[in-house]
Amino acid sequence: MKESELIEKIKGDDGTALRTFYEIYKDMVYNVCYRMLNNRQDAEDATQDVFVKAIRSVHRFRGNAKLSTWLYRIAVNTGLNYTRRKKIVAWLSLDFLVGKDEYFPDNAQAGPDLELEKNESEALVQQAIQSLPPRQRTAVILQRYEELSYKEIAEVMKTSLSAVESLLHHAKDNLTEKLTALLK
Amino acid sequence: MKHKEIRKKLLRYLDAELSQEERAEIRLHLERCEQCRKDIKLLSGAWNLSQPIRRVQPSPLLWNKISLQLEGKAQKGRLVHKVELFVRQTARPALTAAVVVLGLFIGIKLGNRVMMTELSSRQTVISLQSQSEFGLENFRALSPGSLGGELAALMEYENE
Repeated sequence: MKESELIEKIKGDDGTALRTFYEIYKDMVYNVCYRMLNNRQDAEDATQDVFVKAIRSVHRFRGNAKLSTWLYRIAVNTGLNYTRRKKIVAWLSLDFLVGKDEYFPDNAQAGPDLELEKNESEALVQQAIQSLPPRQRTAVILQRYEELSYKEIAEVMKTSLSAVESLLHHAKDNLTEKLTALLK
Repeated sequence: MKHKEIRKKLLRYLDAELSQEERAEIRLHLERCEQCRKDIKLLSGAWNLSQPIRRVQPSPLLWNKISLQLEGKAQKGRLVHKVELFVRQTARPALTAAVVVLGLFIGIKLGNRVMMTELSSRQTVISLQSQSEFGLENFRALSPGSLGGELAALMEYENE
């Protein structure tokens, strides 16, 4: 089924099309949310919100960008909103007083040495990425985990190519400092 | 480039995102600087080991939740979930904080009242003591008609 055809069917509230739309994009949306929130439950709630928002506002999709770009944009904005909300909730819950480590991935499992080392490295890299300013974090996630080109990142973030270059440049320099400190 | 500048660029060096000149300069620096060699080894290990090959999968039940929400049937469930979340994450800590503040407030008020009562009883004792020490007894010997005598008579009259 062509993308435009799928969109038309979604607009027509076709149940099969809605399910197809979900099946095509669920992994993409869930992974972006997971990388942004670093927690499976939050990522699932955010993914639910992303699909509900996308389906309810599909009539506003004009087809100027690819459907995936449009969905990435909704996912990134939802992820950023959840992050802000999490910060407020953490502050109200006084989590910072007990020094809760909110960055450790919840799916890290003990296994063979290499797997363990991979999990530890991933946890450290995730921790460093989570501590970046929101826009830098978004750009790094889209580049590193979603393997989007600079042009695609610019479209998702509604910014210029040079701004993406600059964001990633600063993000990587910040990450170098943060990771070096964490690895010592 | 200085040592500090080069250290900041190590990740972009690893990801081959620098110009030819910058890469050459960093390579030269790495040959000479042991600290940067150690750092790049650590960084490269963590950065490459954590290459995100693993993709995570959402729960198989997620579509059910989405379709229920789209149909509006999940509104109630979601509302209950939101209320639960609010109670657990916001209302409970806020209530704890309110109880602590209230406790402090009551404590301060009670403390003030006890202190005021104690102070007033102390003042009464002091005033009685000072009266007995410096008051009437000392004036009693004064002859009536003198200034001291008149004052003593006046105080006695007031006490009665």
